[in-house]
Amino acid sequence: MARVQARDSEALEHLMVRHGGALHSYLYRMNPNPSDVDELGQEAFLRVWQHAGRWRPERARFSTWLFRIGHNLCIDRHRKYRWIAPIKTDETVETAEPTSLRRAPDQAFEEEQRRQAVRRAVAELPERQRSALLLCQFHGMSNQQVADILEISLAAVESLLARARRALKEQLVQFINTDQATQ
Amino acid sequence: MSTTEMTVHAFTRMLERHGADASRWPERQAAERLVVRDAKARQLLEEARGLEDLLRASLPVPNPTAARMRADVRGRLSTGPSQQLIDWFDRGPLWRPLMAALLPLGLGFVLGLGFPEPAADDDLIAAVSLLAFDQGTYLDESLNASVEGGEYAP
Repeated sequence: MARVQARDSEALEHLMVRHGGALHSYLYRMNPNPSDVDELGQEAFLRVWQHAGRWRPERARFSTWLFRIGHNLCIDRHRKYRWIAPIKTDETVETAEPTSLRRAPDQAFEEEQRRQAVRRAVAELPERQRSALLLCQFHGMSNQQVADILEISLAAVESLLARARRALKEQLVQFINTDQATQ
Repeated sequence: MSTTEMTVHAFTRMLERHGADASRWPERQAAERLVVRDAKARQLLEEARGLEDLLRASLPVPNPTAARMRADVRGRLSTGPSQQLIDWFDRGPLWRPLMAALLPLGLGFVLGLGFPEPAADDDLIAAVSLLAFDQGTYLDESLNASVEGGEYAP
């Protein structure tokens, strides 16, 4: 990051290689329109380049700062266009299921229904609850790091997480039980 | 090491705030002792794990196109000032395009303030109007007198 602050564009590329994937995943789950995600990701790294001098290592890790930039861009985008994008059932999404493990059609249909129900339930969460949950669940962020990214108190993050988990559990209880029954 | 025993209610709160991964629990030892001795706590933990597994299985993400992103960022870093200005308006927060829209209005207002007071012109116009009215009356009277004297008689 010190090299980026010294206007070394190769160092920026190195940061993109190292952190671009995680940021992309977060932006995709928050705002799953692929063209928007690419643009937001680019914009986040351009902001890193333009405002590199503002980053203070003693105040936040670079990943925390980057996610904060990405999160704020995502919120700005939502406010600007006033839409809440439903999470797409995108055929290009890799489900990481090898061909040899493909299930019977009925089971595949049930699984698809379950996936859609989960995506819908997550998409319907209020923005900050969704952010907090995704950052903890998929990016291994501590509650304090989430608080730093969302710029709210630790207690507020814990409250957001509790409400998000309660809401999801209520909505998806049938799928959680089904999962347990099939295990 | 914590010596107080955790209640199921406290365990529920902790699961909601910290999730099912024990490494994230602030009172891990007390929580694990509760899980060993309490069936309800075990059930709650299983449900929390089930929810997390469900989320992981249902929200996959396509492979990030890091190479394309790097190329795009590199391209945008090398754009000229005009494109950077357009980007500044177009890609920033909402106040930027709003400001761009209001700029001509503000400019017109400032230019309007720069013109001289219109009061002097108004006085001049009023004076000229009155003069014309006076002359008109005089002309009408002269015309009537001429007609009566037979100057315009056929």
